[in-house]
Amino acid sequence: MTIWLVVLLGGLVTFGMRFSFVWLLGRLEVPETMRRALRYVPPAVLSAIVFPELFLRDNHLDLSLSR
Amino acid sequence: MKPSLHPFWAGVRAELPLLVGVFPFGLIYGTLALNAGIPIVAAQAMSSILFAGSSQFAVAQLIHNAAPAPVILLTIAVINLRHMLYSASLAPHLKSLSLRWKILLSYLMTDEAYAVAILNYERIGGTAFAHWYFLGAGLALWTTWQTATALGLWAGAALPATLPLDFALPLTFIAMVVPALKNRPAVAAALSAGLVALLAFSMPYKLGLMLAALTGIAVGTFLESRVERNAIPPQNVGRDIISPNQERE
Repeated sequence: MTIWLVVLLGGLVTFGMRFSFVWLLGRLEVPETMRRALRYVPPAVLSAIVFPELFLRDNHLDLSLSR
Repeated sequence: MKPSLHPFWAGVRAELPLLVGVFPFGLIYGTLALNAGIPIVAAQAMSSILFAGSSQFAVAQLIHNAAPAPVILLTIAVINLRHMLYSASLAPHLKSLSLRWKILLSYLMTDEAYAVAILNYERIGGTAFAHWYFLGAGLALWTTWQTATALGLWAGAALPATLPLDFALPLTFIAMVVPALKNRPAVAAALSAGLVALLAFSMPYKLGLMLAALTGIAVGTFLESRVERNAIPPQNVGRDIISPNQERE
């Protein structure tokens, strides 16, 4: 039964985080400071994903299976 | 062809190269979930309800170790924290959509769909059908993930317990960083984030990724405000996020 609780609640939590700002910023005006910071999400996130894959491929394999 | 279908298929096409890396990952998840003792239906449901690869691997492992539900839920929350960044980043572009679209696209918001969608928004801005592009990318990934999970579950018993995970991240993902490097602060954001990602890689639960992204954002924002104070006339300060401009120094 644990597994179903985990799937349903975990799904709800994950969806909540995905929906959070889409919902919130749809109702509020986005402050200029935040707009500015948000422009750096793509370069920061994409290279944070890519760098370890480029340079640490073997480590990555161990980590993704051992957890 | 309906005007919405063209961007939809363009989104599907843009997602295709990333699917090459996602498919084996889904296959392995299916196998691993079975070996962890998760019932087939629950393992498949996890792929469609949770729909977040790294956290699904963690759940399989934790279920296998008989971890209590609150621990598993907390782990899911921490691993998937980065989606809040994607949510904030995409939010200005989704602002004018109906609630139904917002819910649908939020549900489809994965690393791979985010990468493809945000670059499209930055390239073409907020056209009337840009959300169809996002939908195409998101559904392409969703379909692949469900199929790969199902195949992994089906072949599970036939596959060895530990599969070689030696597949490289597709070059496309790497090539995606380039269009995001629009000016010097963006380059600095990417480099600092990449560096922190390497240094913090041993942090558990993707926290290294989160820390790296936040560092990059802080560096980029800080440098931009410095550049602005030094060189940019005040009327350019309030630029629209929808149309980010080019080299600005």
